[in-house]
Amino acid sequence: MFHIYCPYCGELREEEEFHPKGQAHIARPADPTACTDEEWGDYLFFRDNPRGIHHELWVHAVGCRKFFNITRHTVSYEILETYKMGEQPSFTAEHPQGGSAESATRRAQDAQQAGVHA
Amino acid sequence: MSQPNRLGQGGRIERSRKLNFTFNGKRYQGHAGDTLASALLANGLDIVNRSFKYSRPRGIVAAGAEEPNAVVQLGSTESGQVPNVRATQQALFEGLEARSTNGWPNVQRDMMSLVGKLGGKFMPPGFYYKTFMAPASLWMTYEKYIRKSAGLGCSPMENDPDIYDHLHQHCDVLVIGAGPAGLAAALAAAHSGARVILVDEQEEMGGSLLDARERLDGKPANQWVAQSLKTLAGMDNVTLLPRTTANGYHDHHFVTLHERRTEHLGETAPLLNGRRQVRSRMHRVRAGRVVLATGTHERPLVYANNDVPGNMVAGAVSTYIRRYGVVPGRRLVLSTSNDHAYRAALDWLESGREVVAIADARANPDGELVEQARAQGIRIITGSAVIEAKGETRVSGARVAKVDLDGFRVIGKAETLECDTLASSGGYSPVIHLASHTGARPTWRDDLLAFVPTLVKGVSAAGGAKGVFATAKVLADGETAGRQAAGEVGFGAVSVSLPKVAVRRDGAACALYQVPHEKPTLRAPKQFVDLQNDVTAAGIELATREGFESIEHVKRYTAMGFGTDQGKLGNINGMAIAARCLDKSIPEVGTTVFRPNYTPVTFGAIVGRHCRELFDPERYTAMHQWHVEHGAEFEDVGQWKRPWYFPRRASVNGETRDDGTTRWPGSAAPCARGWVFSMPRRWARSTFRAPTPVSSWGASIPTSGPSWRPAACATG
Repeated sequence: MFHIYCPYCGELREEEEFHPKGQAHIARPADPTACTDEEWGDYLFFRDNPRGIHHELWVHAVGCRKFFNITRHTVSYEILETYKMGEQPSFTAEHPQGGSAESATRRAQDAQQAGVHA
Repeated sequence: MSQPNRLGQGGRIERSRKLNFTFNGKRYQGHAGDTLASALLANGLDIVNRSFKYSRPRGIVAAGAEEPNAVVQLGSTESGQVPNVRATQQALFEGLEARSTNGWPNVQRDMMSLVGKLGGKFMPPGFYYKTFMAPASLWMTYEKYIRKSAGLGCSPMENDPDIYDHLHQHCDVLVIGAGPAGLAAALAAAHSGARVILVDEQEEMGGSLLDARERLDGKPANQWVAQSLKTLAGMDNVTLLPRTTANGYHDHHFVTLHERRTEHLGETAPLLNGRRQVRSRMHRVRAGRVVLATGTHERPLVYANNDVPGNMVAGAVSTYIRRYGVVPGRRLVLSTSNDHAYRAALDWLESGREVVAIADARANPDGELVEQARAQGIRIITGSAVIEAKGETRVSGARVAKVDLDGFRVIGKAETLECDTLASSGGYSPVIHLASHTGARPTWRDDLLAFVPTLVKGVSAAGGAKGVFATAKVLADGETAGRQAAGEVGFGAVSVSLPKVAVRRDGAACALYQVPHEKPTLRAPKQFVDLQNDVTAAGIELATREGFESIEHVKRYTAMGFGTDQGKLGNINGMAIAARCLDKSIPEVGTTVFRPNYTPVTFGAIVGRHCRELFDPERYTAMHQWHVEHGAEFEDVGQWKRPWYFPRRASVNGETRDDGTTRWPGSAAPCARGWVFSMPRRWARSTFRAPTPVSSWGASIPTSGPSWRPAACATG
């Protein structure tokens, strides 16, 4: 069972409090009426299923009820970072060691995790 | 009542406290501190069960969670029935009642064994599917009878009188296993100030140290165990959980522990201060770091008839002698591929019984224990192994022959040795189950001849679980693991002084899994790999021939490592046999996936308090009390209690549902709203349009009436 850091609450919480909402960073077409059926179908139904780093949208359903993003490794299930809506992940498939984007959330989380047991 | 196999002295049992128990209707006596298995062995009971498929007589093989045969049914009353209990894990208590799960009319004389004996050759893997193929429609009928002849125990038909709890726990370091590695890890982590939980599944903490020959600081090992446990118990940041099995490792250091609190006291939890105690608890632990100090399981060798009662794992022989003061026979033959197993022969000899011979598969064994055995005058037959056990209901002899390990064949003639107990050891497999629960595939190490766990972040292994076997090294390894785990979660390193142990010089072990026989595997007497599921070496060979090349397919075709056994004893042997048949190496064949739970868990512990009225919350409307006062009968709508109808109390027999709902308002009790609530949902929209709908119980529903129409209330 996951242990998830909510970037809004600033705490590690049990998975039971959260709800997964699928792949993150899916942009709605600016003009849906201009889409072909295929484009619209891709937007609605087709999702990535990568082996490795994956960005997911989660909601802190029985907590602050806010949506946020998680970067998770789909093999080890390790959660590499969580970040607020509108922010960019620092761990990506191109940058598996992190550092693709400076994430304020990420820094805050590091501080939290370092301090959590001290 | 005498216990013929009980030694006059030794063991960790309380000799002054005698306990009576019943097995298959016969009364026996054991001591406090016994497990059911050690008490049965002390009483000289050979057959404890019949096997799953062939109904062959089976005896106790091991001494711990890996026991495949002695799976018994506990309980004297219907509500107290507990299926699937390993006799090796059940502490003896006064009045315990247990029985075998298979065998008709009884376990000593089983009619089904005739089928197994005559038809054994004709019952290859997939037998049922191959045989009962047509007509397909009759499978359900066949299945009923097939199921009846197999199976392991039955579940109780009455409500469980006991209560169970869930606990949510947090700690910095969770140490699983309280053997030498676990104790050292817990001490190191605890002294750094971290919050530590130490769990151990046995009745007593101490693991292999409880029956070790080694001396720690010049004193018996169990003294160091007692002293360490006292230290740990005195620390505020340490929680000791004995009789607790870590059953599942889930993601992000989430571990489920199952603590048996009263199962060693009685069938149902006894009262404490007038209140019933909690029988068992499920701890849901979120740990900072996890240290797996789960030790090893010894692998038995796979030779012909290796399932006849009297065949045991070498380490179990030592455990029964040194820990319980029980020698499970009179004359021992030991077949081994390593030095450590020599312990069994030395312990056997020291308890005053005869060691006939040791068959060592290595050409030139020369370790310290080997020399001790030579000095004691034990006959050591080198380059050889037991290829076949003799006997029907108890071992009567062992056929020993020289074996060519590389060529997988027997050289020369076999010699038959008379004996009643046959101990075997093919090496030690780290207990990798918990590490594998995440899906991580273990790694094969040729130098250890074993799979070691591949670890995920935040989990470390120590001691036997990591493939470190010598006691001195295990202690040091545990200490390091504990210190590092505490360090990783922010606690400063404090070194802990460890007891001094003389380092034993061990010779290298050789790789031996299945022992060759004069006849080819498919024609030789049955060589069992998985005793619980009756999987033979021939079965695996046949499976590979029939095209099942992936080990996962072999597992499913033969049922190897299925069910409650989870491949504790036989899986590595099975993989080795599959590898031999496919002409591959063991790491190429790979392992199957081990899944939670490690040992069977009672449903009660999983359910906890979420049962009966707490299973699902009941929700009441604001008017609930009013409905109750007016004598409403309720129906469940989701979690809501809704008034169904209001039977009139005036009449003597009460009012039927039909009368109550069709009676018109204006009489004493309000009534008519009932029918709207109990309508099928699809009507809720159409009722007021339909001319005369008929309600679900057949009474006609008025469509015109006073304006009480409760549409506003009928939501939800």
